[in-house]
Amino acid sequence: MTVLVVDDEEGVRMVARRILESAGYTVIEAVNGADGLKTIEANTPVDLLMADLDMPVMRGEDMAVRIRALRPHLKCLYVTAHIDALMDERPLLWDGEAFLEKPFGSASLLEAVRLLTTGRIGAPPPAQSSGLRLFWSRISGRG
Amino acid sequence: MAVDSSELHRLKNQLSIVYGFADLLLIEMAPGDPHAPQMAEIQQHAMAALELLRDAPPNPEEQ
Repeated sequence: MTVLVVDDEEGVRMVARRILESAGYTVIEAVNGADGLKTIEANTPVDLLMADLDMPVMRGEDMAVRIRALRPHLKCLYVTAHIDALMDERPLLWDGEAFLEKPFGSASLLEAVRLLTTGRIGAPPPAQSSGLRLFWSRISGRG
Repeated sequence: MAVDSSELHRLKNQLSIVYGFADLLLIEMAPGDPHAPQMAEIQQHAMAALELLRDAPPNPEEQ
């Protein structure tokens, strides 16, 4: 399973790569939204898009809209440090979309990816994984 | 000190990276590793700093 990680911050990409590769995922990186879009337009096989929403050049959500026009069934995990403002702006998620709050650790990222790709939730998150705690509460609050 | 939103975003990203690498190191440490408590402190303080920044008022010069 291949994850395209799009973030303008190299350190964030490195953390995501280490976590995902440790769990057996293949990782492709893109340094901004335009780069991510170019990767998809090149027909690179990708199962899940993990995108920072706050990037220069092209905002993550703008990139995701254009990518999903090309690949409507691609799963999208949006990562942001401003999840509360974002959820006020956009309280509902489409199928195959989820938000994860920065900072994320291994447990929260892997649970989010597994939930999106398999529809199943594994073990409950540890108390310190704030990203997943928010992620779960947003999912469970969709109604 | 007034910090504009792009600088705030970059600062949050840097702290998120500290948090993420601390998390990875904690997972990779053997049980009982003597450095684990210090690493957990680093992670907790990165989170505490992020929470402080979350409540930071916007720079009035940007409004």
